[in-house]
Amino acid sequence: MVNSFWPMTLSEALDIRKNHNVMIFNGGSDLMVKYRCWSGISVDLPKDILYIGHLNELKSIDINPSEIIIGAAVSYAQFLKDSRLPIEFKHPIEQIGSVAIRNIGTLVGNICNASPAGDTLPMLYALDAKVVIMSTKGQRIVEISDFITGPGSTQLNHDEIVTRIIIPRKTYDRTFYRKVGTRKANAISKVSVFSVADIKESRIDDIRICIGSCGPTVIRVKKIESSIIDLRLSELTLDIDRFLRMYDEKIVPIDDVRSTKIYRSKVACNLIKTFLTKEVIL
Amino acid sequence: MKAISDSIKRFDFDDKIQGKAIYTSDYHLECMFYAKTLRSTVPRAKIKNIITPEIPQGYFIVDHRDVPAQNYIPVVFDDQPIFAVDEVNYIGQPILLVVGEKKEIIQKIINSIHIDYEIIEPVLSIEEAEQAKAPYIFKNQPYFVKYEYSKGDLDKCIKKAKKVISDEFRTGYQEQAYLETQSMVAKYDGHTISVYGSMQCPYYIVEALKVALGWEEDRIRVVQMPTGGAFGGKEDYPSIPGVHAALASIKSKHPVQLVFERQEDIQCTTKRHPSLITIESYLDENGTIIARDMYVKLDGGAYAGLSSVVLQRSILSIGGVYDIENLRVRGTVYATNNVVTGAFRGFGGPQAFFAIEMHMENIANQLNLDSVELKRKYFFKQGDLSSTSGEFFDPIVLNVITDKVLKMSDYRNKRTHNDASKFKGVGCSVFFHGCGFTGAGESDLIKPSVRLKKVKEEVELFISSTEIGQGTLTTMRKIVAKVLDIPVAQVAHHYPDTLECPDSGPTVASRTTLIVGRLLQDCALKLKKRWDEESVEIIHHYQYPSHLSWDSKTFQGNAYPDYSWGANVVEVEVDPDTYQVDVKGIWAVFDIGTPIDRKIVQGQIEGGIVQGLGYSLMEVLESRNGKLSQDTFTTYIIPSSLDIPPIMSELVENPSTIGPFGARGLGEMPLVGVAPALASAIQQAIKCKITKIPVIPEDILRGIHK
Repeated sequence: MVNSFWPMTLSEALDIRKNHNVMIFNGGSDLMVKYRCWSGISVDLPKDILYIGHLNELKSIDINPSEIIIGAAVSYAQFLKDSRLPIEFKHPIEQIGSVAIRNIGTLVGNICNASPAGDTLPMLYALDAKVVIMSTKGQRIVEISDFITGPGSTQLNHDEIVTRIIIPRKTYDRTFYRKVGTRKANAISKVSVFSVADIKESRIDDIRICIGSCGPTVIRVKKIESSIIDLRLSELTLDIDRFLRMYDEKIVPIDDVRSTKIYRSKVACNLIKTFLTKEVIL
Repeated sequence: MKAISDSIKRFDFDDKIQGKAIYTSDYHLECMFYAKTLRSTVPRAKIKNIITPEIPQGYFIVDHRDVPAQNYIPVVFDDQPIFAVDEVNYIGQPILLVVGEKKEIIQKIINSIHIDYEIIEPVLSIEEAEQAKAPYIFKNQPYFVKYEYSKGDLDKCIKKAKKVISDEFRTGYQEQAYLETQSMVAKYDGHTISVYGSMQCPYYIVEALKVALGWEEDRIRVVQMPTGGAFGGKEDYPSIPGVHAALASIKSKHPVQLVFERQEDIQCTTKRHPSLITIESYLDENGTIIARDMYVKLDGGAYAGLSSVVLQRSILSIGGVYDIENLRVRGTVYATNNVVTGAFRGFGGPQAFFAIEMHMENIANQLNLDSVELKRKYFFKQGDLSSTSGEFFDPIVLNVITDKVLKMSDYRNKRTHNDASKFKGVGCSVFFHGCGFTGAGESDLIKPSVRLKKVKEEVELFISSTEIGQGTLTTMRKIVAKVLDIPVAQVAHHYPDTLECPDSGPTVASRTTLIVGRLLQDCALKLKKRWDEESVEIIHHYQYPSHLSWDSKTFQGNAYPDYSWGANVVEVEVDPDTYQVDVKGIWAVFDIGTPIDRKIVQGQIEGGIVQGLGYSLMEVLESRNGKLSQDTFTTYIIPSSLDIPPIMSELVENPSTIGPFGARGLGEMPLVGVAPALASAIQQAIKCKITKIPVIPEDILRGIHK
């Protein structure tokens, strides 16, 4: 048997996190599956549980002129319902799981689960999202790409809780998202690509290309991005195959139960090409 | 109900829609215990030793030593033990049960049992089985059965032929994916054992209990509970959990519930047979197909089960709807240390029709002909002899069926004005399903009977046929009410209980409407003549139609008592970036004679097509070292509602002379023709040969970039 903690406030939750060896239970859509056992007996959790999904302090989406701040207990459904958020940011979310999963699952949960196939991650990497981490000692803010350190691993310490995600508020001239799952709904992605670009006077002002499910974590190659930035569209057109070869070298997926290495890298490159030729260059 | 085909509200509708139906896992008897199965974790081994912890008071281990009579499950051969004794032959094979009041404690006991195995080199594929040497899994041979039959003179045609076209096809496993896992509750009262559960064939479980217990039938009762899908997966398999639950109840003297977990169910219950099929067609100087040589190889898994019967249907279907005068047909089902394969909607047919229809497509491509027109040249018609030289007595309307499906789907236009740059394609398949048991199986093996009882104005019908979602509880009432010309509500029909219901045979082989429905029709006719009597009871037995004959040794004669026919068109578009197949539409036309209830028929058609779509497009299931790699619904991918394209279906009414009111079998056929139509469409879209199903994007990429 394990103990369950049901704090009334975030500061109480942080105290519990500090004083007990607990596992954080937010929506539970990953945990309940991971530790499922014979139906009729309770889940076989390896540690005591700290519930945070009910904390009102973590349930808001705040938008100020420079940032979108998403609380840890904001569900996918809440995110989708919020009319202040840009529709482009909703595309990855609306394809996650099923209605039930979207009602219970959270963006922060998706980050902390750190699955290579996490559906929110390519977008959050592309948008330069930051993760707000709190403990009784205070808070620190880290880039999502630093926070996630590998499949299922993050730099979250035993006394810390991720409380928010901060997405810099910015509009993009082009956004692109494709999830390639094993079917049209309720599927884990085999490959996904989220990309944005800004174009000023036929010149690429900004570009970010993020690939999911093709490596231990999301792939974003800033070196390639910076060599594309400042190119004229006509120059990009001429050089497109070279950039695709550069991406091809960086995308080193694996064979698993869902797909193959060859398929993943080919499809990722195809999607990057489609983004560049049909969205960026036009 | 004006006409028999007019739809009425299903009798199981309210219970299921309102959540009132009591399924087996909802069925809690007083003082009920739970059971859990300890299974083999290795594909092939000798069991050296089983080390069990000290078992607390009130908890029991049930194993082969608790089987009072004979330790085997009777199917066709008696090779599968109820519990493993000293060897295991597949991952998931039951070794023992732990039984008791609390699931936590049962789980703890299971976790602390240790089994010492001495590993034996397993046989893990058809190819390995072909090369296998002693010790064999089954008797002194690497296969369960092999069959061969022929028509005309193949050798002469081979010499005469000017062209040979050969193909090799592979199909994969398929999981039935019923919503409700295998579930049983058994209750022993000191004299009688009662088994309640999710099942297709109550009398198969009665038979299995007789073998295991050595008891007379009057001490054995089997009752079907509302069943959440079956699709063949609850044909032979439930005999195992049925006997297990019974043994557990007898030993513990408590009612016992045995319900499988999903992963356990996928991992260890029967699947559709993977196949490897070769076809060679011999053509003369005019491009006419004069002969064919066909070989079907199936992976039967570790025990024979129904594999021999599945293989029969496969080799009886492999000729397709084509009248070819010279044939040789061979089939072998191999023994491997993979999961046991068994019944699944279509029962060997889907593999065969995928192969023969794709082969016809390939012949047409090589001869530069339109594939539908090529097929049409060879369509069976009334009076022709089947591949087993049995006469087709009833009219066969394949041309009408095909014309209709082509017109509905605008096939010609889509097929010929295909823009190659768009990765679009359309394909057509034509197929049949032999309804009922192979040959004279109904009279030789099954000997079905039905019973009608009238008291005053009320009639009750008694059959062992189960309601597994296909409408038995509604359609059988309609048949009886129609004959008696009374309101359908005046006819009672309950889930079968073997105490009351005669053995009307298993609920399989698209035989319930055709065979049992006809028995009820004839029985009701007898009852009608005695309607004036206050209370009457009539039992009616099956008789094999005198114009049919079958030789099961030589495979000569009428392979099935009746046939249903159909054609499908599937249209696809393949995504050039992701190689995903978007199915734009599926069109289907069937000759099932007279539909007994149009709405139920539509349900069977759409459900079958969706299951066929999953089989052909996404349901990847592979055995790696004897273990299925996709054993949850996260990894085993069945179509979601978004994956289901528009389905347009129509019927051609061509009444049967065998079935009630002219009805033929339907349940399986809608699944059978999807794969070849879909694969042909993909083949046109990507311009490379499809030789394997499911056709997944990874294979399309490989094909395009070859």
